[in-house]
Amino acid sequence: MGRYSVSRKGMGGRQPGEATKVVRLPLRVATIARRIAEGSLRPGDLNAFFNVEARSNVTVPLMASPAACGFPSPADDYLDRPLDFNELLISNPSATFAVRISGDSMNGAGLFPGDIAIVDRSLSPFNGCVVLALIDGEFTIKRYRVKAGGIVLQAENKAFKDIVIPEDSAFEVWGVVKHAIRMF
Amino acid sequence: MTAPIALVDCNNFYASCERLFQPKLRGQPVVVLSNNDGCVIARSNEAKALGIEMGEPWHICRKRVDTQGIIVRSSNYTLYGDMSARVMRVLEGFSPDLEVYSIDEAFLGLAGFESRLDAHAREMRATVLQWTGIPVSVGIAPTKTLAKLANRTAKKTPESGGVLVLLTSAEQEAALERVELTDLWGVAHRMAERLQAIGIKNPLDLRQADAKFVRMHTSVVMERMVLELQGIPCISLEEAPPDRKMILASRSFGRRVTTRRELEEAVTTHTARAAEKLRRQNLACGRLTVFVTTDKHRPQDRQYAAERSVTLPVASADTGKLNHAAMRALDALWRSGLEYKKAGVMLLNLVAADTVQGGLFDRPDDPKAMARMRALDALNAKYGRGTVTFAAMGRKPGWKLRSDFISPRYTTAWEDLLTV
Repeated sequence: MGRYSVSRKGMGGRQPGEATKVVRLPLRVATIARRIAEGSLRPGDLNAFFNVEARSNVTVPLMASPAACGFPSPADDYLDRPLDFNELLISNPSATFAVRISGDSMNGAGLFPGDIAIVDRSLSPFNGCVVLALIDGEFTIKRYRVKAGGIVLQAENKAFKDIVIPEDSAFEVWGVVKHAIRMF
Repeated sequence: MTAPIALVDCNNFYASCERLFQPKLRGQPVVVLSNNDGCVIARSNEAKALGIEMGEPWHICRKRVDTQGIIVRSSNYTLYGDMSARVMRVLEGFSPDLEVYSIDEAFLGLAGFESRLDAHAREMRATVLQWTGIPVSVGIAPTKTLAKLANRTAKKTPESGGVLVLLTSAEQEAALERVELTDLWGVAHRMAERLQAIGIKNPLDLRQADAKFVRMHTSVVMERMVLELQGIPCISLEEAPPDRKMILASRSFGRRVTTRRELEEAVTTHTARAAEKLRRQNLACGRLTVFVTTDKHRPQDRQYAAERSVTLPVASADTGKLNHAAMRALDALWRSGLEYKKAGVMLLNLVAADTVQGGLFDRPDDPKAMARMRALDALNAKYGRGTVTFAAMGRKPGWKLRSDFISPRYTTAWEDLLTV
């Protein structure tokens, strides 16, 4: 084995010399515990465990081998749906919009120029969330704060001042920013 | 009582779509032009107030629009189509019986919601507005015709909050009193004149008329109208869209076309578009019509308008065969020395593709040819329209659609996203 190889059986599980214990677990949990011990846990295992449902159409592999003859593939028991990013990023398709970030006022929140922000219009803004707002007809993305004096829009960059929303101004929350995507 | 029907109609839909992503357009007069910037097809309330009419040719109202500070947009059907699909999906959550009637209107059956119609409608309106940003009006009544009337009245009455329920006779009559015959759904100017000739002066008269008498003097359509106005449903909810009778692909040219080669490219392009629509619905067509016209707004030019039809020996959905037929029709149509403004292709005698009968000498579409067509459609769907085309469609044609004032495709193209 090469000098840089760190691949080793049991990686992610027991350290050499570590003590072990025999336990009795429900099968579902036992499967995951075994995967953790073998260092072969995949995101799909947890989805199955938490019973996450599919929201969009994806191809689902049923079986890896023909059912009638030969030995079954050892992978059959472990097949799962491929990851679906729509499921991860979009909870309400009718109300979800994508916008591209241009300024750097939200750098502190991890939003950089060129990133794509995913906005859900069906959510009502709550204290501390990131919103896509309209002030006097201009779009802006800021942290939404409810304070004693009214609503404050905060940038996450020291170079930008807080915006206190006056009572009578044309202000509107267009949607709540739920995620951001960055291409490297 | 029969189940109440709601008509949900988006307010100034195209202008509302534009305003969602360009808030500066709010409160401003906005007009949207038809394909190829031909004429006005949508107006915001502010533009209506300035007297811009529906259907006004752009080159005629252009000066007036410029001096009055009206904002102009070319139609952005990619955006409107996506926003329409969003609105319809939200509405689906409010009733299992939804009939999408047009890009901005839908009928909903509201059986089971009788006790809370007004509240349900207001919830529906608020949800569509919050989720999609599109304002809608809701009219509810026992029949489609009365639901249309309720919707219209709701739109014209700001204090209604965009919702109006017309269930009792008194409510229906009060609403009918405020409109003209031609304001009713499906009563055109000429029909109104015929009704007036037999003593029916207004919508209330029509509601109180004897249906058989009206039928005798006009048509069965008007008989149904009388019953619908009386609250007896005659036009049912069509949950499955009716089979299409015809597929049309036509456009005005961006500039006038004078060469045969360019006209052939345009007709081939339209044929390919229409054939793609045909295959998407698993149909085949038995007849194809090609039409061409010159610019009727230029009376100084020589005028020409003509169409020719070709009957196919066996119904087909193969772009190659259809285009062959279209070129034969064009052979018969072509006149040189003219400036063509528009061309189009109509596919008629539509039948289900899997029921096509062969003839003595002609066979239905070859499965191999259809596999090729499906591959073509799949490539164009995946990599964008025009990825794989017929050579006869030409490359970068000069006659292409004009859309000088188009907004970005905010919801369907990564490169067009709103930038904040």
